[in-house]
Amino acid sequence: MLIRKICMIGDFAVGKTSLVSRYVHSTFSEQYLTTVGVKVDSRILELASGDQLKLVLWDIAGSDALSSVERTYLQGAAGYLLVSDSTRRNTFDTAIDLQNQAEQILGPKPFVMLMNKTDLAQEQDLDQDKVSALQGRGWKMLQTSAKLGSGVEEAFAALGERL
Amino acid sequence: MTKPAGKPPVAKKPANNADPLDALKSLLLGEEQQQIEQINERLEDPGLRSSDVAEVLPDSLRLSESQGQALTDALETPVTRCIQRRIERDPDSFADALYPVMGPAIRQSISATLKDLVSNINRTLEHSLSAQGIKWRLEAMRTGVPFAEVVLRHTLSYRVEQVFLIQNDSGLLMQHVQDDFAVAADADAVSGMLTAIAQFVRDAFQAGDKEGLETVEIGDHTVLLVHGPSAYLACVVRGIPPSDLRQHCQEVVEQLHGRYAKAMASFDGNPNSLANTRPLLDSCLQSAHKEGTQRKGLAPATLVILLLLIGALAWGLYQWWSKAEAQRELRERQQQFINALRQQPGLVITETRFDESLEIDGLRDPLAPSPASLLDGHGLQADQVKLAFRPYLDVSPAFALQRANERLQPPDGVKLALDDKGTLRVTGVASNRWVERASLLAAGVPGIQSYDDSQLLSHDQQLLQEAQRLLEPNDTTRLSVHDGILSASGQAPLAWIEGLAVRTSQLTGLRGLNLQVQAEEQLQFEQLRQELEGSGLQFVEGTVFDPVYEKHAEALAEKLQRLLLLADPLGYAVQVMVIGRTDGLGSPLYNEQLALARALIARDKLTLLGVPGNIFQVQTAVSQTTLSNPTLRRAELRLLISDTGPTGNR
Repeated sequence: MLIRKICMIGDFAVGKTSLVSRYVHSTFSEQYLTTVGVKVDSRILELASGDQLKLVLWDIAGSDALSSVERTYLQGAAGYLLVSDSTRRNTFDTAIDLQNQAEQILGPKPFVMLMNKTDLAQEQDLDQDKVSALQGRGWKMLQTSAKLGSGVEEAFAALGERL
Repeated sequence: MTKPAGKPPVAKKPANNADPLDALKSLLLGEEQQQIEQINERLEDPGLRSSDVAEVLPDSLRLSESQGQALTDALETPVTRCIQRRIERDPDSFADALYPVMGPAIRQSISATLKDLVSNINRTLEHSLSAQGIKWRLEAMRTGVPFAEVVLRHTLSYRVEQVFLIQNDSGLLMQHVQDDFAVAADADAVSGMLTAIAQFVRDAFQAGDKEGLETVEIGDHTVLLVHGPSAYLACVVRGIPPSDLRQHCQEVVEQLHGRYAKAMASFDGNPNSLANTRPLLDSCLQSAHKEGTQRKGLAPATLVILLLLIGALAWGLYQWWSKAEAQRELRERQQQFINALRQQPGLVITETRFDESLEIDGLRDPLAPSPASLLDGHGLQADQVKLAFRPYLDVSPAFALQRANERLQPPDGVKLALDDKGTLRVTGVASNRWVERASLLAAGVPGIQSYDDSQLLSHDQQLLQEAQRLLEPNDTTRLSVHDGILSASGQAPLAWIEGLAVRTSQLTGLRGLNLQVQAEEQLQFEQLRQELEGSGLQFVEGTVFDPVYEKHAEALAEKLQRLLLLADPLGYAVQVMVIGRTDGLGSPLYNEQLALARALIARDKLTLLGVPGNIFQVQTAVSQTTLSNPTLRRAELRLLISDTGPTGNR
């Protein structure tokens, strides 16, 4: 069974940890996020081909720019999930910035952009033009709700299929 | 070099070819052309090519192996498939080939395991029975950790529980080994976190590229981090690791990077590509006991336990042997029982099965003994043998005779016998009713083909035989017996008849007499009576006795005498009336006197011939006719017979 390192990057409080918690049974305390700045979990993904893939998820503490240690955390990642808060437009922009930084570190790697918190329907604040533009560039973009669990499995599966 | 397509470019042609260009080529490049032709032939001939490859293949393999792992990687899959296919097709040959290797290896492994086991048992028992052991047991109960592991923790100086081989930058787990007591956790997540922490520390303290976290101590655990160019080794140690452990781990890292440098550098998340590293990693799983915890030989408690175990084993073996012996004896008794049943007349064994208990199917004549009744004689219980016998009739002579005896129930004095031809012979004496009934019943007895009662007498027949022997009747006397009553008919001497009552009293079983016998004397008496009645003496004329009748007078006298002799025993009194007769010629008076004279002459004549005179009476009878009738000139006899005794005599 192949093992792939996946990183979760995104701005503060966009729901990265909630998405991971929804997806895996965590081994470590979330306190690591505030101390070390990362928390690692793993889960086996069943691919559409029937093969299994073990995802090692590095949930990197949220920030609008990657610090030096966070850059080291990204090393060796086979792909990453960009997470934004669909109720805060600026987190979308941050995600785009983070993608640029990640690509500088990792080179071109598969990633999926997640627009989280779709459960807050009244507070949606997405710039559809930007979304469309990014989709036009070939970005895989998914809407998720860590609270409701919607789109979570699909998000990780989508990235896993691209690895 | 690749094989050229199509035909070889050079073809042999004679030197004096008409084509000037070919001739020129031949002159200038003749030798090279020949070489090219030879090379082409080698390339086109598979046999030659194989031979060429075979020649260089060993050196090529050695060269490739010395240059790196590419050859091993390339051969791994096909060789694995070859082995798998071979094992599928012929596992025996593979097992045979491996046997010399596997046998010693397994023995060595078992030996090492047993040594370890004894050592662990020693320690565990020793500590179990000590105050410290009780303390540790309480600790085990409190923490929920198995007691054996608590003992190990306290008795081990150190123990390497887990070894992680982790890719440097990504933190991906390349390989992981652990001992039996290590707490299983998400090794991939652990290796990631460990890497993150190490990176964090390095970043926090701005360490150089060659520097990194080397030791992490948490409680009684120490994590030794040994770094290499592509990966680092993380050894999780319980207790205090010795100084040479890091040295060993360092050597392992170096060996790993030496042997598997390429695979480690190009690690893409497939742990199988580094499965070969496991033996080296296993070498890091070291442990050492604290001083004084090792004991040579068996601890007393272990010895006690072992003795108890040996005792229990011996007891178990004895129980097993006893059971097996009992089972064997039971089988033997059951077999003897089967043999006994087979020899028992009237029983036929059709099938025997030894299952949980013996099961016997068969046939049984109702006269044969019940098979269940024979169980006791062979020491068997009813639940040890299941019997299923259906009824049948055994027609062998012994059973047919027994069946005949039961059916006919012969009385005392009667004996039944059956010969080989199935003929039932009955001898003896029985009642009339039994004799009749037996002849009817015998025909219906299975196994009886015919019935012979010629030697069987009924009581009446026996009585008749006895009567015949005792009474000795004449031919004219017929005896018969019916229901014990003796009947006699025909004729017999009076004396025989008179003695009958006395003689038959000797016959046993005689219930009565029925006499239909006429006394012979009576018949003679009657005959004489008939002959004498009306007979007489004939006169010629007057009182002149006809001499012709002299003989007649004598016969008459003799008959009278015989009559008189018979009369007395028969109880008769005989008087003879002599009637003198005349015809009517002459005067009545004369005739009367003549008649009287004739009567007296006849009486006297007979008296003279021996007849007693006192039986005679005289009477006259003169005919009233006047015609001459000589037949009336006679003296006629009339018998006057009267009974004087019991008529039974007659």
